[in-house]
Amino acid sequence: MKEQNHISDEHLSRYMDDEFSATEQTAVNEHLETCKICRNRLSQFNLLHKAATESPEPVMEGAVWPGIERELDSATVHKGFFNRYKRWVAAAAVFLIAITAGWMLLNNQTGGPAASTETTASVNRFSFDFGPYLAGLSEPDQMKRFTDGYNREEVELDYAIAQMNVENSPDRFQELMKNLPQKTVYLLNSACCKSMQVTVQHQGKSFTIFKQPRSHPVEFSGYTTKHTRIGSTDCTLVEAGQYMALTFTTDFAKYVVIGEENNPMLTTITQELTAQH
Amino acid sequence: MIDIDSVETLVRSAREGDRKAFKTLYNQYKQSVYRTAYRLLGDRMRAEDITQEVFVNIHHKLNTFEFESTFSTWCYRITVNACYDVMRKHKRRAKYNDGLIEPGTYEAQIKSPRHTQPEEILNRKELHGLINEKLQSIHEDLKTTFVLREFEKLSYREIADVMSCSEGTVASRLARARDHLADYLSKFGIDGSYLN
Repeated sequence: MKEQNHISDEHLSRYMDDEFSATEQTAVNEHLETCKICRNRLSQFNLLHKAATESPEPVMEGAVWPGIERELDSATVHKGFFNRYKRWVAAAAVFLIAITAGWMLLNNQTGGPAASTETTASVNRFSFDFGPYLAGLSEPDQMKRFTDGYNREEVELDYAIAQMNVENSPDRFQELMKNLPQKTVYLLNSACCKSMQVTVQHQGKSFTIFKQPRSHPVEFSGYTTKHTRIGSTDCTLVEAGQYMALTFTTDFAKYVVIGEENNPMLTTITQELTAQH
Repeated sequence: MIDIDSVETLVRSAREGDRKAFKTLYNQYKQSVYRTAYRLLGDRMRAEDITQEVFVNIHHKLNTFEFESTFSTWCYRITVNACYDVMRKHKRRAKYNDGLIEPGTYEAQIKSPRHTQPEEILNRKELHGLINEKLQSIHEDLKTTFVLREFEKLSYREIADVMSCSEGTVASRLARARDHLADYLSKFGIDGSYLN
């Protein structure tokens, strides 16, 4: 009871919703006949109910089903491939393990140098998958899956720019990269093209920009992608704990910007790279 | 509305990979998922993203649905959980508040000099705006209870199932939500006689 001799809000609320027994309802009815304060409170609750009932129904404007189908298809492809070939995959895995173990044993016996995974990993992917990279930000073991997958090599910025053939790109990538302090630059190779990775330390926080040809597919295995807008640019947003990735395409390239979700540089870089010149 | 047996058949077919059956379920429940997400988040684009996310999740989890609750309640539960994730992230991340209803938008308009008597000036759109605005500022459990009851017309039992709480908790949260909203409207002189 909110006050002696008045009906509590909770009881009024349940009375309005017909969640009372017949006896309780009768008792409330009798009270309401004589109590203006409770009648007023009930009419306020009724007003809310009426306003909610009259409120226009929001209608979905975008086409959501195609996005759902895309997500389901991508999951089915991965699952279907594994199911179909799981015996072969298992056999191949056993064979590879045996070969690797034998090779390692041989190397140890002959005292040969340990091979660098960065230069010998097979490059068999036709898209860049940033899922392992995102996972690797929180779990360093996962990062190896990413770095091993693309023959990653550390290079000078100018060399990477020349390799990526972006000297004449009219966007601000080159200028921005040259002006950013404390950066590490890598080149990554997929089966059909290169990506450039620039990891920058700025004001105590780090973020990474990946640049690749605009038509080259990127994916984030293990994560759900969403659509968002930064200014007037359509972006794909992937959230991974305290980190996030923004993917967007300009007239000249496809960019993936990854960092802590509270790092304002992610949106600043996106805006700079998509600014019209 | 499709009956319970049909829903069960559709769920079982969708589990076996029947995409057409899943699309029928989507068509049946998409509007309630979207509406709930929109009421809870106050933003159309986010609500569409959540709708996509919810149905992808539903598809992935179909094998875990054991028909102990209704399929509809299960969809609401997944939707509410997805919205809670967004609301919690939103609290931590001010930079993404561009699409959400800015607090005070309707309040500022209604306090402006052109509004002398609420009965004269306040139209229904503004009243709905005021309610939605206040709704975004109250505790997420109160907001969710109010949305499921007043907009989705769920019973106390169903809300309790969706929110994994008792019916008593539902009654108490609903009363508190109504209390907040009614007090807020009273500030503008809007009482129970307003829509009569």
